[in-house]
Amino acid sequence: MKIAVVTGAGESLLPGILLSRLRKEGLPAECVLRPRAGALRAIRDGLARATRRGLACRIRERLRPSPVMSRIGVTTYREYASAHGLEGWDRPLARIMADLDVELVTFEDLNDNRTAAAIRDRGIDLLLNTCSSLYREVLDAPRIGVLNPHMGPLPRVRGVNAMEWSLFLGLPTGITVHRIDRGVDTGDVLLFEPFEPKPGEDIPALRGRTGPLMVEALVRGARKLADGGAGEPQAKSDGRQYFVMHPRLVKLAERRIGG
Amino acid sequence: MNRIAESLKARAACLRPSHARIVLRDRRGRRSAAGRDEERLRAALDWLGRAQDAAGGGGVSAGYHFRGGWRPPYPETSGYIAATFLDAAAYLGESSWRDRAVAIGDWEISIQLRGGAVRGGQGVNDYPIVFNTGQVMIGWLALHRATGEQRFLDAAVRAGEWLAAVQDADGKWSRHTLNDIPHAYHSRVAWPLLECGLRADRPDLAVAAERFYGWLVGETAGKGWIRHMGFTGSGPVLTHTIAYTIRGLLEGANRLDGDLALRCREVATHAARQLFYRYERNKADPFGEPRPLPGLFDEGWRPAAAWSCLTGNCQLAIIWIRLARANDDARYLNASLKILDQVKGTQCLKSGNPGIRGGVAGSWPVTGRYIQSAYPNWAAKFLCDALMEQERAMAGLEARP
Repeated sequence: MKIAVVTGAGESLLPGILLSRLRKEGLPAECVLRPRAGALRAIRDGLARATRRGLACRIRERLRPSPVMSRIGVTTYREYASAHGLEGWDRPLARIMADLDVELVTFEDLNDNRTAAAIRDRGIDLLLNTCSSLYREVLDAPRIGVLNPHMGPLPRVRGVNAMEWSLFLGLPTGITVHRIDRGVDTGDVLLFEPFEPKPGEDIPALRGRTGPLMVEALVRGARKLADGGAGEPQAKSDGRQYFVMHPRLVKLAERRIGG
Repeated sequence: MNRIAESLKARAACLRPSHARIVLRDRRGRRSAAGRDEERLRAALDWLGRAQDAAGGGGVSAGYHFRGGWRPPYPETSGYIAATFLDAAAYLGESSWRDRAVAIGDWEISIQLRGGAVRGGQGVNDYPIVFNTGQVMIGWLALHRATGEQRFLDAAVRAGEWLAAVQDADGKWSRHTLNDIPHAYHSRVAWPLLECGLRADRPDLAVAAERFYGWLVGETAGKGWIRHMGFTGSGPVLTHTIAYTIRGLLEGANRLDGDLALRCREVATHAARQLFYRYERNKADPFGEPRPLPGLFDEGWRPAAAWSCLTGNCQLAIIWIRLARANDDARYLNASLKILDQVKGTQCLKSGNPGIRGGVAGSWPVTGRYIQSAYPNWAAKFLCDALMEQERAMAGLEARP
């Protein structure tokens, strides 16, 4: 099964660790699909890489909070990498790709014909989504489809801020790996990987440690498909679509952490 | 030529410094940071108080306009502002708002037409209007509930008798209405008529109200649209009158029994849900804030305005909060918090102009087509209602362990 990883344009540890973990699992990725970066973005990402640890990182967080870049996120990735014997997990993505012989394919528009052609030309069977892209026409390009790690239990909690809504509603928190279809989080469900918030944890801290959980969930999902498994279809009426949560409700969701 | 002259006068009115600041702020898409809700509630109530004082006599000025300043008192909206003042008195524990409500109620009685109807238009005119009569009944009934004073219930009964007398056989009203056509938003007439019938033990009035609801629930079209929601018989409809219609249906559902109650709730919920999704899904970024809700929608629920009707937004916030409770669906509460944040952001708390400070404009931007370049009293009223409704809902949630 040929796998490609789709990333966003920003800096994140997740794609690199995912590539390493897939290789360890015997499911090496063929390529990474990434938006074509402009000069300004390249400068910003370079700055992010150079300042990943330390004061500048905290300043950057203040400007644009990113749980992946938080200390909690880095610590969690370190523990995960250590547990799975992943070397060089915190190197720039380009270095990891070079070491693993993974091709970089850049695109202007994920859903245009050229991107679809690039996927088909390489015989890609499965895309693993690691960003917040919208998938439309490109869904038809890989043979099997696109897997997404959704931060809540499907079908109950579809849409945005799924983790926060799960906490608010008193539902289990976890990651659902599902196929992306043309609905909002309505594709076949492969697995649900629960995780427990720790008492006293706040939302940013909780989000900060979900990166490795998403990696592991995606790998398990890919493994299930590689072994001939399939997902369970969802009925559209089984769940509700949730939207960006208002800060006052986020506070209430946070209060429910730790019972 | 007249239109050009009017347009030039309207633009000139925007040049006054306090007006210009608002126009420019809205042009830049800026909204003031959401302050504390109690501060905003008090600011809106104080604005309503000034509007009442500006009119003199007990009624509330229709609003502050960039051209011409404070307008004459508006019987229709003064009537339901009385209910808001009473609610504020209870919510804040301040009796001065109750005194203001009583002043409105007595003023409304003093100008009530001989047949029982309420006068149409702004100022004291000679013609009756069905919708206006219903809105003042809301105020009188609230006053009777709060004070126990029989004169308010008597006034409501007289108004109810007139409404029953001018009703069509099939339950709708098409005489003494705006543009002499039936309106779905007369659900806000049927609501107080029903309540009056129940409270005053007048089953004839309650039956008249039921007849209207029976007619209205048959006026649905595809995707939950309800016919006759607008001021005119055709064209896109304001969220303001859509919300009037939905609220009147929900209040009817709360007071009726059986299938008719269920049907009213179903029709209202379907329409409210359409606007909920249109609000939440209208965003540039799936992880960002919704864009302001357009002020007009056509029969397919397609947006038909680039501006937002702030009154309608407040009214929808109230409806969504109630639906959240009724349907155990917190998404509606979530949307109401967000849409109210957007309205609050347009409320100017620091203007030196008392006609602007604490008030809520007709549209955002202020030059939008609904009550253009003006601050209508009903916009402030519905913001007050929505803030109190929101805080009660949130207090219940925040008090839970």
